[in-house]
Amino acid sequence: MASEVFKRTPVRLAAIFTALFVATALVVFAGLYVELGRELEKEIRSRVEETADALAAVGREKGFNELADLIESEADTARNDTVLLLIDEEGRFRAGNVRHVRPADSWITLPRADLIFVSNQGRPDDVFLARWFPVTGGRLLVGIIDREIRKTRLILLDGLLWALAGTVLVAGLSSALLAWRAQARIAAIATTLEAVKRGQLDVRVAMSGSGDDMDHIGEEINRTLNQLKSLVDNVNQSSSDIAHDLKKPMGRLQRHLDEARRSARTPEEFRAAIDVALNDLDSIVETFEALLSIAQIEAGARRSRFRPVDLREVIAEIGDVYEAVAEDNGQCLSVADHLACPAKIFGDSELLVQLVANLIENAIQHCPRGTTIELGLATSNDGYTISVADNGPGIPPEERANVLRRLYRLERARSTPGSGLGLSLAAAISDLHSARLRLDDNRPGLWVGVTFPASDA
Amino acid sequence: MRILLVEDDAETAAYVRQGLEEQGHIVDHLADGRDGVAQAVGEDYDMAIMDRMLPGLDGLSAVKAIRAAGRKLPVLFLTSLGGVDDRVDGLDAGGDDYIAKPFAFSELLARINALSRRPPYKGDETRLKVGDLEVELISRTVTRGGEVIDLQPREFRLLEVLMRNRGRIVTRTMLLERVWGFHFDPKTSVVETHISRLRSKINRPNSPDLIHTVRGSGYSLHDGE
Repeated sequence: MASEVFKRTPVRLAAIFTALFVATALVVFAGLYVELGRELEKEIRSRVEETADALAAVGREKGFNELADLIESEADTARNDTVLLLIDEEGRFRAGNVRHVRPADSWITLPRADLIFVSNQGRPDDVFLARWFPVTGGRLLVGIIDREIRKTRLILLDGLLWALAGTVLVAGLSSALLAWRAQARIAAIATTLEAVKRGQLDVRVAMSGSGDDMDHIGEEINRTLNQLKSLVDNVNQSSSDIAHDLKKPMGRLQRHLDEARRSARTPEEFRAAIDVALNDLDSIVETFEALLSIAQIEAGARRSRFRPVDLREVIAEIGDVYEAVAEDNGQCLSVADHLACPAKIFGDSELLVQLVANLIENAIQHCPRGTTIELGLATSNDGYTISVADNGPGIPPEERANVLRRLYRLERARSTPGSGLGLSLAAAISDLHSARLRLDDNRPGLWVGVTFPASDA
Repeated sequence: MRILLVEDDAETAAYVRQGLEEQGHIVDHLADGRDGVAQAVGEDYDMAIMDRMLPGLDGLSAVKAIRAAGRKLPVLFLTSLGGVDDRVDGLDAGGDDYIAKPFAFSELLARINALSRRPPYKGDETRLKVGDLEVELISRTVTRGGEVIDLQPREFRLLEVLMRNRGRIVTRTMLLERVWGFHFDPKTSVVETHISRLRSKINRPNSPDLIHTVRGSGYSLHDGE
């Protein structure tokens, strides 16, 4: 269980941060401890040297015996925190509050317990920092107790303990709190994803609103879920659309064949019935092919075949083909190329021709006789815009946005003549070229524009 | 013609074979891509009809292998991979034409006929003639009974395609591809409109109509009947 808890990222992070705080505190205190101790020891040594200097001066000026007397009188009062010992040239004891200390040339430490006369004073674990000094007529030992160092160290240790306890407490508590909050939000995300896994595609990760990284992750997850949902919706909608789209011509085919079986008598009648049936099948195949083309174009593989294409050539060609078609249909198609230079973009000319042809055919099919259709090409800051404008019935504003929605379009187009996938295909081709397909009011009529971003092709 | 059919679907193969044999062609059918390559390279065929998805070796690789072996026979892809990219891939691999399944037999036949006469004639013709209608390909002039007819570039191209295939059926789809570069099926009467314009330009009151509509198939330009 405990090891399970520590596998959780926030808990582990909390533990790591607490340990880091403690380690930092320890390093700081260790440095302080050593440095302060060294500083204090240096001070005690200089005090020892000052005392020795003063006493040596007395010996120099007033003679050895005078010094011995002075030490004799000082030793008794000072023995709590100072040791003094004066020996003559032969090493015999002359004065002092300690005995039998072996002369040496360097600093020595004398535990109080080892020293006669002073051992019953102060604390038994006191240590004296001492040194031998030469004086006129003999040698002098001066030592001063290290009590201050020890006291400072104790205070430091005391402080360290409290500070450590505080650090651990604060760091532990705050990390635990942060970890708990993070954990709660991770758990919330996990719960959301669990629900999605079970098929509830509508649930979303709740945001704290603080804009922190958990919110960023949540946003990213929500975006992904939105995308997933629209894909799933698309697939669902597409399958039912395909089923719908095919059911109608299938039913028609069935009806025609049934009629032929019941009423056709002569081979000619049968042949005519077969022709009708083949036509029905053609429209079914056509729907499939349109769907496949849209899927293939949306997959984007054709980008690898992009070449520089002059949009002016595209609309000139389409105009060339469709002017006669519109005329035969009692309409008037004119081409308005407002550019003076080639409108080069990077694209697939075959698909671009199909795109513009689709828009023109939509206008020709959905507008009555007498309609004027204008195929235009203009340039703006956004890039090049190919437009198809008519003064026919148009599309009501509230429907305009819907028409561009991929599957709505299918739905709507089904009630009008034609394969109904034309605009879907146009939108797919526009998307492939990073172009924007837009519908607008032509007052009266419909304006459809495809804006290609300016390229350096 | 001796035609090699490489197709792994037995039903389609039987349908194609029967239709072509009715037209007087000799058809050898194989179901495996590797066998198809061996046969196409080892024997002398006038044309090959290839599926794309084949056991042994896929159609694209098979055609590349046949081309690599130096065989120049016309190859027609007949495949259910009918996407925009698939067609380009097929032509890039060395195929001469591409038909997506499902297909109408009349379409297949028209394309086979169009392909069959390509190699010996292509590029050699500078002057096409049907009855009293003449097309000069280099100077791009058209005359009917010696009288010059003024045509738009696309109309000229339409007439050229029909003339090159004189006496044979050219389908609507073939015209869309070859004249206007349309690889989709327009919803409006593009072909009918332009054929009708061309017809009115080249027809003369006392001369026969040369452009014949073949119901359910396409158009044919000839001076018979």
